[in-house]
Amino acid sequence: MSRFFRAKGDSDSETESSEDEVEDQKVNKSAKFRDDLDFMAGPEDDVKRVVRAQKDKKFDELKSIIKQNRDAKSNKDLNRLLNGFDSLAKAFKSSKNVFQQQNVTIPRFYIRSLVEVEDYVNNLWEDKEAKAALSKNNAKALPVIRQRLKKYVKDEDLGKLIADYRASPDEDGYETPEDEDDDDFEEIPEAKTEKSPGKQADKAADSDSDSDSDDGDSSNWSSEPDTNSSDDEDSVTKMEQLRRYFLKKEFREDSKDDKKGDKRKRVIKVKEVVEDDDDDSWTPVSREKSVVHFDPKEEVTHDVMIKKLNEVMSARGKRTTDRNQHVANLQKLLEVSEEKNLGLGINVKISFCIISALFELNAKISDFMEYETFMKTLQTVNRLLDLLIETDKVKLSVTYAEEDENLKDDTQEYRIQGSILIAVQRLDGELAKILQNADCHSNDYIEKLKAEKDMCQLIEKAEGYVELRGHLKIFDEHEVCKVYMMRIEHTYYKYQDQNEKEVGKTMDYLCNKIYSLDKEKRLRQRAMLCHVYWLAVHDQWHRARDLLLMSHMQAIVDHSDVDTQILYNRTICQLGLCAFRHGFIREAHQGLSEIQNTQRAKELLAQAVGTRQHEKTAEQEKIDRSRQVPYHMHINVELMECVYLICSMLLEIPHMASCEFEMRRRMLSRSFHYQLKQSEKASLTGPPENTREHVVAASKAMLNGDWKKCKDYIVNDKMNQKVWNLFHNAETVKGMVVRRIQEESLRTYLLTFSTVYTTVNLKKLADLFELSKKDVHSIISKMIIQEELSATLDEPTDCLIMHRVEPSRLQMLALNLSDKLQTLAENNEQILEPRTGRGGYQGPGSWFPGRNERQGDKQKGSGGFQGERRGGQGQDGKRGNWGSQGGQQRRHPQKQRAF
Amino acid sequence: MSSAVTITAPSVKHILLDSLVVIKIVKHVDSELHAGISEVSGDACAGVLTGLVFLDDSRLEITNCFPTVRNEPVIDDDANAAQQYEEQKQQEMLDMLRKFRTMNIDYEIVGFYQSHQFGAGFSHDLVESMFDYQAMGPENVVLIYDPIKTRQGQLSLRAWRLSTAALDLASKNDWRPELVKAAGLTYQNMFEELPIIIKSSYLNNVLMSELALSKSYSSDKYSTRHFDLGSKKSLEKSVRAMMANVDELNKSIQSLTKYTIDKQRHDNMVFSLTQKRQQENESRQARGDPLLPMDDIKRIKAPQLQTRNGLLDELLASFDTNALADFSKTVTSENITKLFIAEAVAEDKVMGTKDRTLSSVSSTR
Repeated sequence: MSRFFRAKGDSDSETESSEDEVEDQKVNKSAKFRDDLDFMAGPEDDVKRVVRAQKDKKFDELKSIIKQNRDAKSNKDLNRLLNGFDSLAKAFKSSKNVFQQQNVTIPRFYIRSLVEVEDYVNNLWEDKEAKAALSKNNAKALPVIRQRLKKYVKDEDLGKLIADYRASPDEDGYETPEDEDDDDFEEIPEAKTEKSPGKQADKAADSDSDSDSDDGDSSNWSSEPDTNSSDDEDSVTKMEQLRRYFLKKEFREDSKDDKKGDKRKRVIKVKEVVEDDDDDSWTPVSREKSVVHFDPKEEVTHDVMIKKLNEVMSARGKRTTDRNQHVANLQKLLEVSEEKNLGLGINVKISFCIISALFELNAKISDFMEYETFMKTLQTVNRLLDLLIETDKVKLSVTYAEEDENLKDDTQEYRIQGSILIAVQRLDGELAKILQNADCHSNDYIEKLKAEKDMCQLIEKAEGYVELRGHLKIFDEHEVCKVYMMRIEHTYYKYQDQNEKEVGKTMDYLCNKIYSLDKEKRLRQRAMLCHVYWLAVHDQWHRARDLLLMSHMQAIVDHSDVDTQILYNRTICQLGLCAFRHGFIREAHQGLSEIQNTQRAKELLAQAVGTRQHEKTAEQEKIDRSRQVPYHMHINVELMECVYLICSMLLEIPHMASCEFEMRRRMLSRSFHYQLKQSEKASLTGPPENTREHVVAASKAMLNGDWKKCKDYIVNDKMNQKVWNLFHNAETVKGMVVRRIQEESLRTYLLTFSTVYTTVNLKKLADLFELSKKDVHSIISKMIIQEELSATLDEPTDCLIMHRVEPSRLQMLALNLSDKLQTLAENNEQILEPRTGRGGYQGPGSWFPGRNERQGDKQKGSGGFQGERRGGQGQDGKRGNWGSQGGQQRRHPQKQRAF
Repeated sequence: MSSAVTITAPSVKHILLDSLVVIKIVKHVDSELHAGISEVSGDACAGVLTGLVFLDDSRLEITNCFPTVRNEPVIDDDANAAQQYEEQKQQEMLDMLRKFRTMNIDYEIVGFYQSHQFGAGFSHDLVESMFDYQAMGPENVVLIYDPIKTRQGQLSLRAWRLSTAALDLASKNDWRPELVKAAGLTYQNMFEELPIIIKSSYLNNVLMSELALSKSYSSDKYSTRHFDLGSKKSLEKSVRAMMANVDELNKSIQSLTKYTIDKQRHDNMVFSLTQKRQQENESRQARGDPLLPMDDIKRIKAPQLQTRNGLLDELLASFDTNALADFSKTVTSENITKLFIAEAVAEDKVMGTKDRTLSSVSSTR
């Protein structure tokens, strides 16, 4: 302890505790920083101002510690008091330099606090009873603090001051009035305003020649917020003071503005008189914290402008640069250049800089742009693009190096480095981000969505520009592809009723462009998927299916990036819906089951972030979020689920009826069975509420062969509203569904009740299911051919004659038992000879659950559009990756296999 | 179940069953079966057997019995009520035994009886209560009554008790595969069956023998009943039960397989680790360094069998399956015999009806 104390007494504080060091360093640093400033800016009043702030800071620091000490005193917490005293001494020591520098005497409140502590400790020391009542810790601390206090007073020669204070003590509870500080502040602005014109002049004089000084200048201007941030940790009172400080300043600036206005008037007068000497007019600008001003004596030429531009641009990306200011500066430059007719080259260059500056308004990539900024950027880009389209003298390309740029020579064509296309692309990305972050159920979203139209126009314009200037070889091929791709991405999900042909042609054209231009596969794949999506939306089922099949997308999609996988999922879903509209139930089921069977359809379609956040880092989640599809592009998941369930019903119910006795049923659709089971479990089944319940109720009706009830469940007002009206050709789809319900109900009926009949009249069946006799005949024939129904058709009597070959229940049971015993025997053998390679590699498809099932389907069904699917097994796992549940999904099948 | 229970080997070799007990059991179970109570409450009819042990000729005489109160379905799952109920049940049993004593009937408990279809109802609970009884008196047994077989005309009563090895394991309530293996326990020797001799009164015996002798009572009109193939339903039931058991077996075998593999891996790991550590220790010894402890290796957790009662479930399932299979076997073989007889008879009478009989053969299987 004493060593520590001695260290305190030393003039250099190197041996102090690390915390202390940090504090000191900070102080030193800030002091140094200020010194630098002094060196740069010169004027003496700046120093004064800065040190004032420092003094106040120190005061506040001390005061807060004193306040803590007081608290400790009132709580009789001597330990805390001891600590507080130490830190007070420390803080005071570090402030002493500042005080000395500034000729401030040791503050009275400090002395007062010392006296208070001393009194308190001495009283306690004298008061035996109170001393006895102290806790053990506190009792220990008491002598220490007493000793230390004595020593401190002696060491620091404070004795005299304390004696002085004791001679004329402040009244109890007295605190240093706050306005003391305020008075100080009052002084500053005066000093400053007095001084500012001179400063201005100074700066104006050397700013042109010395870019460094500009730097320093700008940092000087921003030094206030800087100080702010550096003492964030300071107490709230400090903040309050700061606030007041700024309030004052605002007021101050007002007055300054007035002055400025005066001056500006004067300047304008001057301008009228001397035409070419208008540099003065830039002086006021510089007063507005701007660096954009030109030497009054010098004419603004290309070189000067370029230099200036470089100057401004050099501030780009620096931490001290105020980004908004940066943009404003550039805009000023643009104005000047336009005013001075410096030529298109410069204009384009500056515009381009503005655009990139606008993009950089946000520090973080993940943050989205302000909508207003976005619109501003959009306009700027639009203007630039117009300019570029108008004239062919300007060439903007990424292929130029910076040295090759030609900004001034208007005899040649202008060459500028940069790419408008990339700007457009970036803008597109920003729009997506804005939409992602907007509340999709608010009007705000709709407002923001309006920008999408502008964006489309801009993209179209960009495309036009590309085609106009394509021969000049100024575009990177990739860029061009991107433009087409953007256009596609803004078109593919929109359903157009009227000029479908036209849009279709555009779509074809765009996609073909990409197919021919794109060298790397990614864009081609994406374009293709979009194309398929578009075709599916527009009911061109066969083309869509063929295109998808030709692409072999199924095999490669698991090797592509996540965004493409999402697009693929979307496409598959849309294709499924398209198949459903066309009445291809099996295909629709296959398409939709990819997504629907996973229980996280929304996640796979990137329409919601997974609810299960386990083991997901914040970063991952952010990435996931950034991948979300904007709301207006969403596929209606409820509709999709309903369609999927209806498809499952139409396929599964007859299937269930046909293998009623089989114990181990093959399930076509797991989620459908799950729903069925859920409804069975429910003790009370009320009338269906949501679409899901409707389908389940319909399924139950169908299982009983009651097609009318089934139909009523599927087609009614509620379902119309929720499902059917969402199709553009609702009536035809409904008709198709009803027809399929009739057919499948007939099949189910025959399978379920075949045991009851020996013969059935076809006419009766036709009446019962309101189908034509011909249809009934064909359905039954098909069933007989597929060996689902053992019966014969008797033509003369128009009867169906049932054959009795079904095994009795006991026989079924016995068969099942033998099955089970076989597995038991197999399992038994395994005990004797355990397969050690259980976790090992067992061929590519062995862990994939749906594979056998799907293969079975393929053999049985009409080679659906996924018949070719070879890489299927890899896919689920892979695609699961982006939901971070791939592992789980993969684990599940293994479990299944085990039982 | 505390392991402090001393297990004494039972000395009883056979059981002498009073016909009164038989009648009482049949009456009790049948009336309940008729009323369908057992299906409602879901547990078996049960009762307590009283009698006395003759250690001289190692015989257990069961002279009387009485049914125990059926579990009332606990409507509100109040643990307190259940406990109260249990006490009440106990009280009633004691009352009954006291009355037996006052009436000079044997009041020593010698076991209990339960009714199970196909004689296959060996559950965990049953094993537990068997253990309880056998810990109470080493000669206690359980009588399993099969109402279905009795209905078909054959009285089925079997006496069982846990074998000493099983008793040993049950006292520890530890059915780990290693222990079961060490005890040499299989489903066949887990339970011991005791032969039953039904003792009727002499008068009764006389009546029976007279009936057997007189031709008029072994009547012809009942003979066709022996051709009845009405066991179809029960056969179905037994097959279903068998399937459930096989499922159970499958499950436990699966976990056993997993366990064996895990165990093997674990053993290998521990072995290699120990060897490595030993080598290291040897080298350390040579250098004179302190030896490394083996604790951390020992602390590696051995895999657990993923079933609740170790191998007990598997044993019980096997035992049940065995009982069911026995039943099915006897019934089917009987049926086949009957069918052959029927066929022969039918051929004698009408030549042309062979097809139909054949079809009935296929339908009953």
